[in-house]
Amino acid sequence: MLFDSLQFVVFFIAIFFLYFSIPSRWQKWLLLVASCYFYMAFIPQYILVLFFLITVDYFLGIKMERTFGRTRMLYLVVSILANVCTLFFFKYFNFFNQNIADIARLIHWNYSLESLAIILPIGLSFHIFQSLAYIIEVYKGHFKAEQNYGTYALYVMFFPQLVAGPIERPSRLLPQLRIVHEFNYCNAVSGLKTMLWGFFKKIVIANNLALLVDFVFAHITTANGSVIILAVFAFSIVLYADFSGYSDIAVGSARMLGIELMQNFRQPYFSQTIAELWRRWHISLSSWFRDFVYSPLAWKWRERGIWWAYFAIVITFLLTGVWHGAGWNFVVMGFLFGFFICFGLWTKSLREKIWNIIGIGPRNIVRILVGVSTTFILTSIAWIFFRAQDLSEALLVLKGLFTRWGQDAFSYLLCSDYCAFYAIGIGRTVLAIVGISVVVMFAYELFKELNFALPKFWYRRAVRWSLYYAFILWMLFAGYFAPMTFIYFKF
Amino acid sequence: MRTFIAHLLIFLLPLVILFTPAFIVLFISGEFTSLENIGTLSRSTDRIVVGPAYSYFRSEYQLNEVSVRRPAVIALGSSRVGEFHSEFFKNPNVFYNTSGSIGSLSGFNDFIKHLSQPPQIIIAGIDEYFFNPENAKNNTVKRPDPFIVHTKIYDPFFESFLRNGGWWKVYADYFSGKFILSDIFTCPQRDVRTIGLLACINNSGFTNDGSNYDNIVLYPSEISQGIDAVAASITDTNGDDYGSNISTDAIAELRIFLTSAKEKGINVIGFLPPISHKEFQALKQHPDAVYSYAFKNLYSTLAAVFKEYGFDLYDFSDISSWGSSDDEMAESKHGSGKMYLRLFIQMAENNESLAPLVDIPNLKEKLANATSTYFISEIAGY
Repeated sequence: MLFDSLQFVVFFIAIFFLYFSIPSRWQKWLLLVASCYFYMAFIPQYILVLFFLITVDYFLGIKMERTFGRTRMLYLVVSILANVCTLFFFKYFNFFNQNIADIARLIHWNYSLESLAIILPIGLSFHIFQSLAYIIEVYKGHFKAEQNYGTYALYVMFFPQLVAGPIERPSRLLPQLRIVHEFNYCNAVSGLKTMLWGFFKKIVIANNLALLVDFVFAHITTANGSVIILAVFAFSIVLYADFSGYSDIAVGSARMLGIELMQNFRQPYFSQTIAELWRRWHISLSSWFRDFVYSPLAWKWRERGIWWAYFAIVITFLLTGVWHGAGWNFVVMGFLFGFFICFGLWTKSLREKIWNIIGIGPRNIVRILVGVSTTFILTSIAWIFFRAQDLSEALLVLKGLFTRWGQDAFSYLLCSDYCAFYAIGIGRTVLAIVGISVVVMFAYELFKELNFALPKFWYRRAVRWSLYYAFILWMLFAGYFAPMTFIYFKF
Repeated sequence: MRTFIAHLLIFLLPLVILFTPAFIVLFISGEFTSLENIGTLSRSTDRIVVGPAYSYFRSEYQLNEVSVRRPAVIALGSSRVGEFHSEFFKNPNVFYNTSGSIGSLSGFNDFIKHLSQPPQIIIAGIDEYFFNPENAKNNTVKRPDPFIVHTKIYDPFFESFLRNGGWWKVYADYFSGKFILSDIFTCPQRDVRTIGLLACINNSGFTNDGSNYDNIVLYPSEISQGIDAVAASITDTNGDDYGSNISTDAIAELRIFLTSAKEKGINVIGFLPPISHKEFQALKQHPDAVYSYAFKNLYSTLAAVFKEYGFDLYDFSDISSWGSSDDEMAESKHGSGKMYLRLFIQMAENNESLAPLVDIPNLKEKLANATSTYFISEIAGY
């Protein structure tokens, strides 16, 4: 069930009104049943995988809390193995198998293990990471094991964040699931607005721009370098609008039910460095890797010097890349981000000196613009490896960026009638509409970034409602309402 | 909670008021009919005409119909193959028209590669503009496979009401006088069942066998003026289809289709579709308006390619050369049903695989007895 489908709208309205109408002790169970239904709308039988992991982690969490020493460690290892092996089986087995087969072919070894014809359970990487966060926190004694099976199951399965996060921590989400939620007018209205903003980002910006990006990537061998650059930047916007749009809908729908999920994005494209970008992008994932991978490694290697700290960063980002997908393109993407961060740290003092020589302080607009643009360009380059089907396609895109510039650049945008983009339903009007929408999105983000106070007239209902109507009509007018799945659903 | 519901309802009221009339009009006109229902109806004995105003699903619909019906003969091409009708055949069930399902040369191969059981014969409309050397700009050689793009679940409500802006376009069309409400409410009472707003208000679209259905009142003088205007617009440097020679990319793409058809055991009967005599003459008179230059070699070049594969290609672009006239044109590049019957008879007479499926004397009689300049059938619209 996609968030941007009529099915979800009907489903959510029904759950919302039922949730606040039934006796409070049933609220949790209603959410659990709703979450099961939501998950089963994709591939029903995979709910068994989910419940297997929930059951294992639930019991091992309780056992772990009651034991110490090696036994406690043993429970942790069993739980981690159960989760990681499940993830490996569904997500990484074919990738590893293929690579072993390739190596075997090189060394003339008769290796014939068949690849598995399986579909990745939706949101597997998300709920496994959420489960791992729980089990590690319980092991470390930072959090008491959940005694109620239903509450724990709901922690893993809570439908707004089940398939694409945010990856919640037990200390934040579990206490909220234990309490009764009364209806709160402000939460309901704020949740609705957040959802609306998410729908706008997904339907108007991500869906429309994705058509253009998909088209260029499908014609990568013949597209002009200028058009490929346009598509690469457009994909950065698609990815942000798609994923942050999803997160907004998740946060908004949870808020309407009285549950506050963590903020997953904080205006990432206003970052001045890649390191800052990852503190603002997919915050629930980057903080997970920071807490459970980078920090332990950095702590372990703290006396070995700066290069080991860089090494810890690269390892963390390699794993972040692999988390996104089983393919060498994702490995390269992770490596690039790690490299960019290390390079940024390594050259930080040198860059500071240069800025000082020029006489430009850290708050100077030129310096901010240079930082933001450089970060956006580097990020867009790394995202090429995210968008490409495999490493060879990513390399083709990179090569394409620097070729065919002489061939009637931007002809796609300037041509008329049966133009390439027109063939897939993107005319210049649509491009203009999407362009305006992107400006609106970033203007609003800038507004938040700079902490602008809302003008007084905004608090008049007539003004607010008029703007909401205009916004909804704009969304209906300019939105691309094809059933397009969210990009992060495949993780 | 009550306050919230009250505020929500008040907030939604203007939107409901805005959307309801549009929704009702589109619902009654059949714009939201699912492709499954259209398919079922089209295969029944009920006569239907499908003409959606705010969505275009011909590609996926017609591919699906061919997969389900498995006809022996299909017409494949742009809208310029739309006037081949199942009535032209002894057994109407052997034929299906997929007119308008493709917009570029690559579409031919894209179509047949999706068929598990291909037809025995394809009547392929080889539009002249496919070979325009300016096709890089016009994208007439290779386009994204339309049958992959559209294999996602088709939701008629999302498609016509939301995605294509039916919710506001219906008002724009109403206030510009394109229809009146009584048209909509009388649609369901007609003998021919109309599906979609265009079918409802204009009685035009495609019918059970996928072929064109045009029951609009045709004004010969307007058609004639239109043809004159197109012919007059052709100058040495500003042709309707500008280009100095035949595109080699297009020839290569055509070969991909013909090779694939040959491998699948399909007999391709190609034809260059009719162009009004006046436009044709104008093109010929302007050798630098170059589409006409291409014309001089187009048929011979393509016929040689077809011959390599053992297929026939017919040239119907110059209508005066095979007994038709501008009186039988529906507009400058679209012939009428009567004109297509005329050219179909010539095709059948010269093609060994088509001839056994056709009762040529009967078709000739129909042609001779046709009372309209445009239509050949008792059934309005054919």
